[in-house]
Amino acid sequence: MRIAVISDVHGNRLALEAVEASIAMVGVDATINLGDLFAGPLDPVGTADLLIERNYPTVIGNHDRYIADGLRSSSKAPVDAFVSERLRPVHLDYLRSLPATRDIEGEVFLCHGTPDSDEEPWLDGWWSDRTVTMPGEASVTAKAEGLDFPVLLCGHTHVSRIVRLRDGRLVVNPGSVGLQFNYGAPDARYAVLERHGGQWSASIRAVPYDFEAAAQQVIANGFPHWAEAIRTGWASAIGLF
Amino acid sequence: MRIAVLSDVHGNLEALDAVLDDVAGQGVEATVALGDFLSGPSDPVGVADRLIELGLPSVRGNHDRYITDGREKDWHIDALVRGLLDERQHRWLGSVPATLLLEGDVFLCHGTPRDDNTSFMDTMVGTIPTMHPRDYIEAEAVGFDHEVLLCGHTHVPRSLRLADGRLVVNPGSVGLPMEIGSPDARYAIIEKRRAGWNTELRAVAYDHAAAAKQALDKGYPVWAEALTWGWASPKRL
Repeated sequence: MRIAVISDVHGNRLALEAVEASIAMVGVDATINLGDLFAGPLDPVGTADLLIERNYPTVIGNHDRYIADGLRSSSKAPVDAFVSERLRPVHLDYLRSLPATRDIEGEVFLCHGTPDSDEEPWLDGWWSDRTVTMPGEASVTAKAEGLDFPVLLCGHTHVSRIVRLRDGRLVVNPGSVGLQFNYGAPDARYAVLERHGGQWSASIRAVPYDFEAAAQQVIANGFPHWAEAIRTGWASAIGLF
Repeated sequence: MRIAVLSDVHGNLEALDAVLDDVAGQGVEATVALGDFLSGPSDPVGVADRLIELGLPSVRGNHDRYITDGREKDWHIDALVRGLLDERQHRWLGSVPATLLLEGDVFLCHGTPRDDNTSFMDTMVGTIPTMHPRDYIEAEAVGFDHEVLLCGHTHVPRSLRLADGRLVVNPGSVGLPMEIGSPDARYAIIEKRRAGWNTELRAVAYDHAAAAKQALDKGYPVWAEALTWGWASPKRL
């Protein structure tokens, strides 16, 4: 069994299409999505149309929730406001239909941030003083407590990592399809899970795509400060949203 | 062009053989190795024999250099391995170059292009594993104008793209996971497609308990712990 895991597309349809082409070459039984689908000043409507058509098993991300519930005012969250203005009722209904967590056949557990929160980072300590830091074992393990699944998946931090807990459970963050920050590569990220003889393993993929075309979208849409993140993958996440 | 990239085996034959087995199913045209082959207690002689038999395009690591040349403050494990190798194995280790340029414009080094004991992308700030800043990484790559720069040494898998589009890839460690939270063996596959070089960072589950037992039997409990959990700090080894 082989499963592709995507997360944090953030409205970047060009990156999503490149990742889907890569997944098609790998050959998988299913693709699953960990949320933050449309929130980016790139092509939120094109991304929404494509993801609704695909209907991958998906969990809701924190930005999806903000948009679906109209939680953030336009002055405080210009990106979420930009996206909300463009999405149609069918797109919002889709976001509202997504669960916060779910599992695939009792084997693979999906959440956006941690099992308890779509805003909390799990496998990275990102902006605690330094960007991209490996958290300690105690904090990583505590968040997995009580979840009896061989594979636990999370997104949100945009930093890809594969961790195996002492009891053998795998915790994987595939990184972000559409918005790279803090760690130095514009390439789109996703993960592939494979089960051989009852044992799950994982790999992280980095896929080049036409990120200059994506950078032109954010500039044309009036969000030039996103261009550095899209082009280099080095921009800080602070101030993007 | 599809290439498997192995690094930092550190004397772990169980992990190396599991990775080679995984590579065999991946349809690669070449396999390369980035050094620190032998410095570890599990089965350094077995690893030497396996690598001599395979004859992979390789560069040497800082610990390979220490085994060959010695140094003032010897790592205990380097002295141990130095004593275990026979003349043929020593000759092979001494013959591995510091850097290598492959066909397809792929450059191999252990640490950075200039130094086998300098980290390229990842570092520690106090006890926290994190990344070097962008300017530092760009500066270490200046003058090495190749499509792909492959490095090891940090044991942290990473795929990074420099400002001018060059790719820097660290496959992580085959045989000694540190500060990474997983005992699985790591390696990478890079592949050139129409849109450019793709990277795959693979984690392979293997019989790490067997490798840990070898380390324990030889009197290296801290190594056994590192091999079992993957959380050990390099400062403890």
